Amino acid sequence: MDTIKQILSQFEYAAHHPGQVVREWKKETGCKAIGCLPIHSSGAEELIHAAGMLPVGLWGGQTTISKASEYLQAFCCSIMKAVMEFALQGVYKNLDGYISPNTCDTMRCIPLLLRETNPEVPVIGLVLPDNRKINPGIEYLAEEFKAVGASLSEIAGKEITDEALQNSIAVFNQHKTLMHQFLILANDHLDIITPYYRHMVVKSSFFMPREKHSQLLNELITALQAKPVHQWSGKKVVVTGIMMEPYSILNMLSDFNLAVVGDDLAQGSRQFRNLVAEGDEPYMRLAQRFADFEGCATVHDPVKLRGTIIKDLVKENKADGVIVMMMKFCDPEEYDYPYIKTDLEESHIPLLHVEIEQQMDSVEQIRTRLQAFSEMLKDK
Amino acid sequence: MTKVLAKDAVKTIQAEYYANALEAKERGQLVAWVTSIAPREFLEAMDIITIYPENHAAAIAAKKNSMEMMAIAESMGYSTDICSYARTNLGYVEAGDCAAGKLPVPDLLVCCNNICNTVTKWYEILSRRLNVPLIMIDMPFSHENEINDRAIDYMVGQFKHMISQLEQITGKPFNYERFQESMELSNQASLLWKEAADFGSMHPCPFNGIDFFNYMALIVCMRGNEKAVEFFTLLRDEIAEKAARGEGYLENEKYRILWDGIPFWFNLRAMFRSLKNYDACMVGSTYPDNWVLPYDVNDLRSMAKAYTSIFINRNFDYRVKNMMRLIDKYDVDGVIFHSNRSCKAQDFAQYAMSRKITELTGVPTVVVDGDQNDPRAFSEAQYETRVQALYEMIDQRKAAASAGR
Repeated sequence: MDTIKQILSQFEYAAHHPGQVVREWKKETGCKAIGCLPIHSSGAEELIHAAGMLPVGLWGGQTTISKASEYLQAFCCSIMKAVMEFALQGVYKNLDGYISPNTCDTMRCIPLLLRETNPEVPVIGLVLPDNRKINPGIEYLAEEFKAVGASLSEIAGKEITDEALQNSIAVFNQHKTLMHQFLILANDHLDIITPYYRHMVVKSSFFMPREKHSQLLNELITALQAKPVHQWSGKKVVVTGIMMEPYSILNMLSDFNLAVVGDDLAQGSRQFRNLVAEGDEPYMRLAQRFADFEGCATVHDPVKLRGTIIKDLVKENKADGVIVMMMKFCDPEEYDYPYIKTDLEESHIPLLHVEIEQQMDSVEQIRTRLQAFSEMLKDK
Repeated sequence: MTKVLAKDAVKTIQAEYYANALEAKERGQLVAWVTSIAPREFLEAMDIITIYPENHAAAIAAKKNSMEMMAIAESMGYSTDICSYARTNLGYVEAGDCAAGKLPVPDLLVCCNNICNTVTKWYEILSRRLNVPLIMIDMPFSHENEINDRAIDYMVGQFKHMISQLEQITGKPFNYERFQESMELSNQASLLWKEAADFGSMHPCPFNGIDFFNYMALIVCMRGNEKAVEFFTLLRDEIAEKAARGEGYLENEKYRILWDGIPFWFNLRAMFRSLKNYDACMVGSTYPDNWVLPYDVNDLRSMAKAYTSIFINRNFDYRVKNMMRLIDKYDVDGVIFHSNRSCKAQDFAQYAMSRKITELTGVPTVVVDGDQNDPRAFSEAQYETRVQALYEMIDQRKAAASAGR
């Protein structure tokens, strides 16, 4: 048990101290770090790695919004408000550049504001295609990755060779495989891997060097495998949405004996769901991964598969219900919700919709709703 | 015989347009629902009727019926935070009728995301709800000052893909001859539209800029069609005659205003009063300016570049330069930025834009809160106070300038 606790505390430390992690890494290696804005910086992360730099996920955080209000109206999502606040407060001063994917309408503006407020730090746009499955879309994205790579090379002062990129893809693929393995194994140990620790393991991967995260994951997996399977007596849920914060919500789930057994979170399984397939041409490999990806509100999907994906998660993991963590003012997620609701209702899967923000005055209302949901599940 | 005025003609043409579309659908002609700045020339070439849910949603709001439509969408789980055009349209789809009349049911959907990512989500939902194919035209957001070649290659690739999709849907070969004609007509209409709007530079301004929001319906729906060319010739000539006589829209034009964003369709009167009562004239707007889309006929690269170049798909520098160009061209005294709850792609650059514009040009600006279709996000009293503040700033600036002289 001590080994497991010790490993989990390392994940927890990184998740709570991203600034420290970046500083230490820069000091140790003398290399640079690049901030990656949500949601799909995947691909660019491999390029950052291949240029010898550290990709750092920028998904906001707990803060008080003051300076950002001069740039963003009240109806901007709390993640991007926090990102702007951190940028303006100098929290990101150890970052040597940003990757900004075209995630949503808000993120058409955020890179413009980052550039405008701090012209010293390069902001590299990553414009992912909507027509991602047809050849012109795949070829375009491969070229886009090349252009992103060229900008990153300039920051790093180091060329990205195909060989280095192939190697980085392997490092990231291995990490994704381990994450996937861990998330499955976690369901046998829901007493240890509580919603909070599950989130800590996932979140820390956005800050730690992937090799180190993989190494810790390996250790954790080995330690968990040595333990007998725990028979979870509470209820099991699948969560969907952008992320599972503020932290207080995670502890509330535990308070009501709800375990997270599967997720369709943007800051979660959507990052690890599919590997980069084998191939000779690394940029085409990265583009093909995006073509093959399914199930994110910010990735074009005329068939609207998300409901089906969530239903499958429920089935595979024997979940009792689904919680939609709706990030307030997240348009893409808000557009997806009614069809997710329809699809789950058709399959008689209990569903709870809670609205969250990173900066919440009170989570008491959520507590009441989670309690009611857990009681409803118990009665079923 | 009295001459037909553009403001009357636009109503007739639009009513005819919807009536004809419904009849044509009955006769079996294919109907596409299309986003407002999609390259409709491809559809014109295939004799597909194009219908614009955005325009229809605006018309619903103008008829004071948007609240009812949005309530239907909201009851289905669509958040009040998402675009009010989308909510109005998704509500209309369920209701099947509204104060602005019925739309022919679409056989296909064409979504071009040069205006926002919102339309992508909206059209995905329509595609599933109505069970019709969606043709997606993806125009990559441009972070650089120039549109890069890989983006143009990709767009041209999509155009070619769309041609084969259209051939498949219609069961007919693509009509390149009609396509060329439509491109020519589109360019003509776009040029006439620009010529008409350019008279905004006259002192006094010969037109009320708010009227352009009404004329806009035709540049959206019919660009690339003979009727649009006819109408915009009428409009251009009408304004040119007024300009030649030195006639202004206002007798005593005091303030020349540039408007950024979509209007409040449910309360155009508030906009009208807030200008006219203070002898202020809207001489231009960033919004109708979007449909000035000149390109080389028969050159898909040039066409792709024109359609992707609109300001909302561009970086901050471009947006600032674009606005400075309009300020200079129209000799603008003040800018009103409509912080439109529905339009996040534009909104979140506006605070920085408004400061930058004043810093670079000295022209005072205000940001006003509102929404294109949702009256709940708009307070007329608050709006008027902000606009009055703008007039005061303009007065002060003018007084300072004349004192310094």
